[in-house]
Amino acid sequence: MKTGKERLKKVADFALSNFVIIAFIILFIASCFLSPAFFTKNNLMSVLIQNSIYAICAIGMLVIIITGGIDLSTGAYVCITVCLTAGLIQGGHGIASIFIVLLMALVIGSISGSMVAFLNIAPFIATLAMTTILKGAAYMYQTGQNRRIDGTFLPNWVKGTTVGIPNPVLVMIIVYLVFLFVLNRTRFGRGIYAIGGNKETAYLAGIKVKTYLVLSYALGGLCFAIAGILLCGRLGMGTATVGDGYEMDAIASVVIGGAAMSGGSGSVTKTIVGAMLMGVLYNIMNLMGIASYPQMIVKGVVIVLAVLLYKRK
Amino acid sequence: MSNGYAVEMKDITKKFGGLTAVDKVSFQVKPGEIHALCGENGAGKSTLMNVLTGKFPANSYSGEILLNGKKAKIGSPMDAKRDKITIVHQELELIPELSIAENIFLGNQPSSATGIDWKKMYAEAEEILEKFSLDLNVKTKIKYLTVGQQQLVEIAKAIYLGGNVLILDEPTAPLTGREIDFLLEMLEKLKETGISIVYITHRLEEIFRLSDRVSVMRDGKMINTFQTSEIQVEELVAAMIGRKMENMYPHMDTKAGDVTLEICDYSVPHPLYDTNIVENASMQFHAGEIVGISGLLGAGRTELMSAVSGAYQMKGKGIVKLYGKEVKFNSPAAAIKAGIGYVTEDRKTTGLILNQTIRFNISMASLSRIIRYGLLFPGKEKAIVNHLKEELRIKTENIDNPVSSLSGGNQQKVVLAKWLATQPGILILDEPTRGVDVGARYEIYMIMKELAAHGNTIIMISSDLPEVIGISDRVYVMYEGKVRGELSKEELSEDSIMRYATGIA
Repeated sequence: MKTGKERLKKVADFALSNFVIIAFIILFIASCFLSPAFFTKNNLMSVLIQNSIYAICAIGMLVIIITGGIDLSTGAYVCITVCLTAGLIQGGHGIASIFIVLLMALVIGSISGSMVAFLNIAPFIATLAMTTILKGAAYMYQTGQNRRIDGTFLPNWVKGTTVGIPNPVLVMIIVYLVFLFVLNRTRFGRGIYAIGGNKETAYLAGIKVKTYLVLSYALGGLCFAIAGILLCGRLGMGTATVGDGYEMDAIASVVIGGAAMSGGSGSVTKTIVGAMLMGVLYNIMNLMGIASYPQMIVKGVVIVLAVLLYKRK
Repeated sequence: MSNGYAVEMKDITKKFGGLTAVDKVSFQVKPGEIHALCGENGAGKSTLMNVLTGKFPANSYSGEILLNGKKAKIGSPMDAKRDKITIVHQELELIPELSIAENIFLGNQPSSATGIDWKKMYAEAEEILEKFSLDLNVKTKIKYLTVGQQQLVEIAKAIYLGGNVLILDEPTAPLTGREIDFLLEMLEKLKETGISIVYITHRLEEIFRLSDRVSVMRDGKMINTFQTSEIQVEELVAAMIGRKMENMYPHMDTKAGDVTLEICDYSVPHPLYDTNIVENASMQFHAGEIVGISGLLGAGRTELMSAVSGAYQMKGKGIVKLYGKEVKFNSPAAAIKAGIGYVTEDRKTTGLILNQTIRFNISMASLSRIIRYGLLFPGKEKAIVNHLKEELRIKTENIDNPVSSLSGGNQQKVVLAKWLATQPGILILDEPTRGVDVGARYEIYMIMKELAAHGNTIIMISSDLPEVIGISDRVYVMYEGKVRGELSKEELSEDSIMRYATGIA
């Protein structure tokens, strides 16, 4: 027999561990009342499209944070992939450009991961170094070049839809499903949760700690590159001035989604909802005419509130 | 008006949510008394002591506490400090990166005009260590000490801080024979100064050797308080587990079969110095046999077995034969594949992933059993885990509960289940019952015996002599990195083991 008190506690526990989803629903409903422009197809679509890029970055970041690491070079990845994609398309490589860029991201991620796994460099430092390397490379590649690619296949595809779903959103959904599967139903997924929870125990249980660390940074890089390619398509050009601050937004989404920075926990679904929560929050503030500086303050407060709520659990 | 008690706890009740951890418990300690507090894991001993040391706010529990007959309000660690009640926890609370002296004086550093008076601090710390006959440099960082040494430093610190009431939670768990003797002597001396000592332990021999009175808790209730001199072991064990225990160690007929694992002339280099931590060790293990590896802490037992199974940071030199074939394991993964399981010594740091569920922990080392075509099958996983949960009688409603919600004994069973899930032919257990209560201990011994009866090879590293004697079929004794002796079941006695373990024989 369960007493009323126990049942209440269960409900409270459930609410706390799924608070980001509940908060998102409340915010969404409140937004409908706050601005008549919010609940329109155009607005909702643009929120989704805009934030799909951030959400994909957040998923990549989540994979790395689960291992107990962090990747500060998210923005730099986005920056260099925007430049390279445009450059390669200009160079006439067509669809192959996409695959070259993705492959390059895997290699960069493997290098970051190897620094962490084999050279024992702290993830913060390894990826900080990678940030300036990538940024420098992007500027070198970009300076003095005109990299407009309007009218090529990429901008056209990014603006298009498939069965009514905007293509960037479609990509986000695919990335989400793939990682939902990878994290929950594969040896690698189990492995990285174990590594983040207790590296020593994981190693002794036969989990390939170093290989999985390298792989998680590589997969993180892959996500960042996918986001960069989408951004390139949206912009219709290559430029080295984009990407700043993407890592912070990604970390914020992961944290609002309930993952611990110390590793070993986190969910793809809640991370996506975390990213969308931030997106809707920005959108409604814009619609209500709140200026961007107060918006930054609200964002900071939301992050702190989220962490406090998870702590109560 | 004094009632003759240094501490009197009356009708203490403490609940966590719906669970009553301590139920109307009354407990008294006399001045200058060593009062043992025992009971199975989860009986409420630690919670009761946490109430006394101010871990919980005063309004979160009911009942009253009297100190020297006067009512005291204890609701924060500061209150306990004011009333001079000190506790040494099971989990060490020293800071690894600070020196011994800095740890002892943490928050109490002697100061001079320019800040901390280092000279005075080191001198006083040396004095304290000397009192404990601890031959250590006070400037040594804590992380370089053995767990046993750390424990003694922690106790020295508690005694230095002074107090009327000193509570020790399982203080001898990480200590070796010599260190235990030493600590018990210290406590006896300390008692003569009029300090009251509450001594929480699972080790029955210590209760009889040390305590004046003993209180037994079970399921959150106080069962009884005895004069130690007037009670028999059987009576005490019966009070602890609530039924009569026929035998501490299960008996089962097993027969040694063929040689399964053989170690020849095996040496392991020291990770820091240019010496060997294990030297020319040779051992043989048979199917259907429980072999004990005994010796003092630091004798090289753990290093030997973990190097053999690919888990040690240094690579060993020598020959290892598995089922007659020479093998070399470069990682635990390789050893697991070959059917060797290693239940490590410290479940918190190397055995469990504490923020994960019971299910996650149990299936962690045997994922290949539940993965087909790269895909994990949760149904199969649940079946395997639930089966092990039943077999090992892990006390939980749901395998998806966090492993941290279990008591120590049940956590240890989860670690064991993790390795049983890999279906190992050879199972190495390093201190398998440390910090585990009598009831769960018996169950763990039963599992070991059953595994041996099914033809598995069981290797047990243990510092607990009665345990080594009680369940081993054969024992190797190590001393300073070398195998000093091999004892058959008939030759086993505390005396014969200690002679080899201390290098006399």
